[in-house]
Amino acid sequence: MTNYLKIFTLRPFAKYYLNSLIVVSATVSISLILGIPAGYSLARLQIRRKKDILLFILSQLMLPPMAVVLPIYLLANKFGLMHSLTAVIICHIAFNLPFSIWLLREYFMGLPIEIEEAAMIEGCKSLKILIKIIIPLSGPGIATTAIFCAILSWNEYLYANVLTGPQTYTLPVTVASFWTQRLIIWGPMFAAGVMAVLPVVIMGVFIQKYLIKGLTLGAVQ
Amino acid sequence: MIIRRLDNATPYLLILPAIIVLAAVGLYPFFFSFSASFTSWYLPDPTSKKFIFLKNYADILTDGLFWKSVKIMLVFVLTSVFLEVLLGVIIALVLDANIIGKKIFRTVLIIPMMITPAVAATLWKSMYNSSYGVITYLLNSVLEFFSLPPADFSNSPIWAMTGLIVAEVWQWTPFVVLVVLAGLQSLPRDIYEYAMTEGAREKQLLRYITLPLIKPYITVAVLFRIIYESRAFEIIYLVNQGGPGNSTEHLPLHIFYTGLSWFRFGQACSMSFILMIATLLFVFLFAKKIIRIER
Repeated sequence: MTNYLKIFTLRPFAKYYLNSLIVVSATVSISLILGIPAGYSLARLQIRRKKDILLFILSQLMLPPMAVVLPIYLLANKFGLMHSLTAVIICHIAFNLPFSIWLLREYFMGLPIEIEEAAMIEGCKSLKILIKIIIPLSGPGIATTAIFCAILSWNEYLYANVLTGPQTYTLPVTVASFWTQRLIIWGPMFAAGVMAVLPVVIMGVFIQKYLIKGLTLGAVQ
Repeated sequence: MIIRRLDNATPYLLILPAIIVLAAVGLYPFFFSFSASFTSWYLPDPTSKKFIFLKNYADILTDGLFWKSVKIMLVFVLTSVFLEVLLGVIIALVLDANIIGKKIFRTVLIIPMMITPAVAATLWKSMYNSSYGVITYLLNSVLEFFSLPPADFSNSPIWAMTGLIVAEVWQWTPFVVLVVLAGLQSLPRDIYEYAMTEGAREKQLLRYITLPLIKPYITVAVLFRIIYESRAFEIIYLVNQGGPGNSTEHLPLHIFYTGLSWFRFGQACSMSFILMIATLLFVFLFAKKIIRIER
């Protein structure tokens, strides 16, 4: 038990926990706000060069983060966003968006089209259809996407390490930081690890149905 | 697909914000990297950003370290994916049969995937530690019994790589299991019934019906795993920092060190660019299998 108390004295652990929470909630909400319209229009609406756009989004999904870290490091510096949570949030959004758009698009394509056709006959325009009909119907799909975004963001290490500073570390960076150059602070490290992992694992156990559906939906035709 | 003539601009407006964000954080670094890769930029010295044409590319393509990191990356990725798929398919086949406790097993199976890779890496590192590590202790007891040299995860390149592959396989085999299981559960049952009435036995059912039918699912799993593994950073960085010397320093890690430790930014950008092109080529080659553009 003392280990768990120690992590709060050795590091501002509560603050780092809060940092992670802030990053995850901002990332998930903005990803959904940007992703749902994009997913819907790519699923149902007519867009010129849709194939190219989809290919672009797919390529962003596959882009190795390492190839992009260095320019982003400089970009963050130039805008004075170094050591801030904002930079991390923006990066997380950018890397969650392709996957979210993908999942949402697959989900929207699976919805029955009759409802939208009925609404169109009534003279409803796209945006209205999206807000009043699609979103209420998409509870499970949106929940799955949100969960995936949250997990990816919570567990992310590379950008968090590069872009954050002493005030704004997130949890993965903190846990790794217990293994210092001179000394390995074992007890608190494991305690911190447990506390970092617990929310995700507990959540995962309870919502595994959504997780499995999301995983296989993204991968399986 | 619905054709909307009432509001022609709306679809584009709906996508625009998302595309802007993606372009800013995905496309801009791509071009930035491309242009920086032609310079001799040494980060601490802003005046050193001079245009040197293709010298960076010539340097890295003749650099032994670059090719070594590429080789390490290929070894790491291919071995991990191979093992993950092998174990994954076996476990999925076992789980598909009606055994007791299937749901509990599935729940337990998901857990390794959920654990923060950084935390898992730290845990594996402590288990592989020469003085205090659990795995080192147990493994050495077994090895000593057979009079074999002890395993040293921090000093031996082969053991270091093996340790990393084991950790990666442990964490991501569940992904393959889930994908293949989804495939198995969508297979039509009547083929099996027909085959059994024709007198086929278990092994023949497996070899001639099941495996060919789940090949597309295995393919998808393999593709996703290859793409993900080639980006794996936390595990190698945190457990080995590139291993004894640089024997586990794969290409992403090499880029990281070149750019942010040695500050040879121009070279790092050219390596990133090569990595990006390679990944994109790989994706476009297989894009048709993954993308589904309907109607």
